[in-house]
Amino acid sequence: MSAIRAAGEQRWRDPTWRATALIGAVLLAALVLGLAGRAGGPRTVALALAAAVPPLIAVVLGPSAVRALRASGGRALILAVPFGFVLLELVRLALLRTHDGLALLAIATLFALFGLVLLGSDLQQRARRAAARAARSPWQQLTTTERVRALPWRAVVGALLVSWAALLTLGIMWPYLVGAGILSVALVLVVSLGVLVLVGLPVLVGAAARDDRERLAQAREDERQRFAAHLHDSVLQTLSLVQRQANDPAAVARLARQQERALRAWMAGRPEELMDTLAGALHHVVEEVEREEGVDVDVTVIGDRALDRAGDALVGAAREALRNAARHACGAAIVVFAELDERQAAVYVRDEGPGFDLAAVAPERRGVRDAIVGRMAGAGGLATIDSVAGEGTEVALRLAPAAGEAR
Amino acid sequence: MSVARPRVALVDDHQLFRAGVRAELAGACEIVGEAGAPPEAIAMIGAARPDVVLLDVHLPDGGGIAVIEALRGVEPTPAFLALSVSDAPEDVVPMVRAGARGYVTKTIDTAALLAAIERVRHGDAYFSPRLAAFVLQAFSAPQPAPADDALEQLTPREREVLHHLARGYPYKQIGLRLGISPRTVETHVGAVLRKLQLSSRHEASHWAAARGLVRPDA
Repeated sequence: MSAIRAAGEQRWRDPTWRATALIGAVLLAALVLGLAGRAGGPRTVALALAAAVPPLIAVVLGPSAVRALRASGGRALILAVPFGFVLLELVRLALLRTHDGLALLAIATLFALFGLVLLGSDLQQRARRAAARAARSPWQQLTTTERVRALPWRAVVGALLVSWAALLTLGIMWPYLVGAGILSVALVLVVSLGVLVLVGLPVLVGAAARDDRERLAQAREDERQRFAAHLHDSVLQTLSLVQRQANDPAAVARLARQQERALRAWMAGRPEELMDTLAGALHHVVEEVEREEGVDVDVTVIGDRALDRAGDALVGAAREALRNAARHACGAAIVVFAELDERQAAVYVRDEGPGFDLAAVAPERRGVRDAIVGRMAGAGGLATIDSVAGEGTEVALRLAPAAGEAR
Repeated sequence: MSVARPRVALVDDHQLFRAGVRAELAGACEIVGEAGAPPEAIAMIGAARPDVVLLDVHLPDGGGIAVIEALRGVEPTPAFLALSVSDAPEDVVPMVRAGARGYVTKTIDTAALLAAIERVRHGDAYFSPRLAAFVLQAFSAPQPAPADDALEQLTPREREVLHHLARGYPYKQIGLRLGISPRTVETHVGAVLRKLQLSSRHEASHWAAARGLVRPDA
């Protein structure tokens, strides 16, 4: 019971089905009206048919017939059935004695229907080919040759059938229309247009909704592929590196750490640690030194700012400080802490290594310090190196607020 | 009794991770229980009465916070040490606010983990450099309303201590640099933890949202 109701609901959601039901109701109403009012009964029915049938064929029967035939792969059927009907009806016409308007109208309707099926099929194929052409790469466009058709036979046959049906209908309707005068013709046109709008709108809306659904599904699929591609380039790549270096625990740990950091940044929506901000550049430098020197660095960055010339100097100095720390920490922890905002920036690089006496540093080893202290001074900043023998070393790099800037 | 090995319970939904931590701590701690989800964990902690609970932030059914909240007021309350792969402030800080005495990332080495366990076991706070940085950030965020509550602000000294922790200094060196004893450093860190956990004036969520730690709709 509920299955039947569910099936009914499903059908009702289909705009084509709704349109068919609507037109059916219109025709039924016309028939009842025609039979009830005896004077000019057949005329009312003919008018209703003339108003309702063209939209029915155009928006419901035509496309559904195309769909049904295409689904069955019945290309031969598309050709055979209309001609079969034409033959059949010609025979029937020959046998007909009385002038039966309704029967002829039905025949005309069938002709028109199959003509439209052919036209619709032709149009669909054209659209498909155009889409395929658009999707081709320039190289494919150059190299793919297309079969050129001498005559669009489907379109021609379809147009012929439709014209024939139109002539037949006109022939049958003419006496009624002539008798009815200009008002009735106008009425037929208006009612026909009205029905077309009533029927066409839901179908169009339904088609748009279907398009939307397809686009959404496509977007999901694209997203999945992007996801898969990213995982392939990052996690799977790292896993294969890990397998290859399984006998080097330090390398494995480093790889895992780098991958973890990258994956986390990606999950947080920071694509690949953007290099155009100071925080991104600092993370990048930390990773670089971890890779070069084979050390682990615990890095926390608070805030961020755009990467300008002074920021570049800060990053360069931080790189030198990190390399120094990595070389002298002897495996002890290295911590990087950065506080950034638009006005100022501070980066602290600390290692728990043995530390050293600044005054005792040999002059020829000053070069490294110049790369830190000199660089920061050049950028209008300050670098302080704080080391206590046996307690570790901290390099503090600061960019003060610009001189002209009000507090 | 204080020289006895700490009684530790593990709450994490990854069995492999639990096994790893158990192996690492086996020599120095007594592992008295394990659980993979909050209901199990609550029952297990009630029965096993550990000194310290290593508590994962991300658990099914409410996360680590659910465990802390269910056991609030239950005596004796174990010391919770939050443990997570996450390094996002919105995961870390609410956990500490709910009652964890410290936070460490899962990449921590064994020696540091043992030091953290010892510290929280004795009622102190354990702030990793990263947690210190996050807390500093939370307290530095511009306040939406004038902060009439002294509890909502850090003293300059507390701020200095926290800043040094974020830079990776151990307590002893912070004491030396600031001219105070390591014990006083510990007191300051404890005070920061209390200020974090006090929620008499404001709901935790409001507090966190006002500081940009959680999204308002979360």
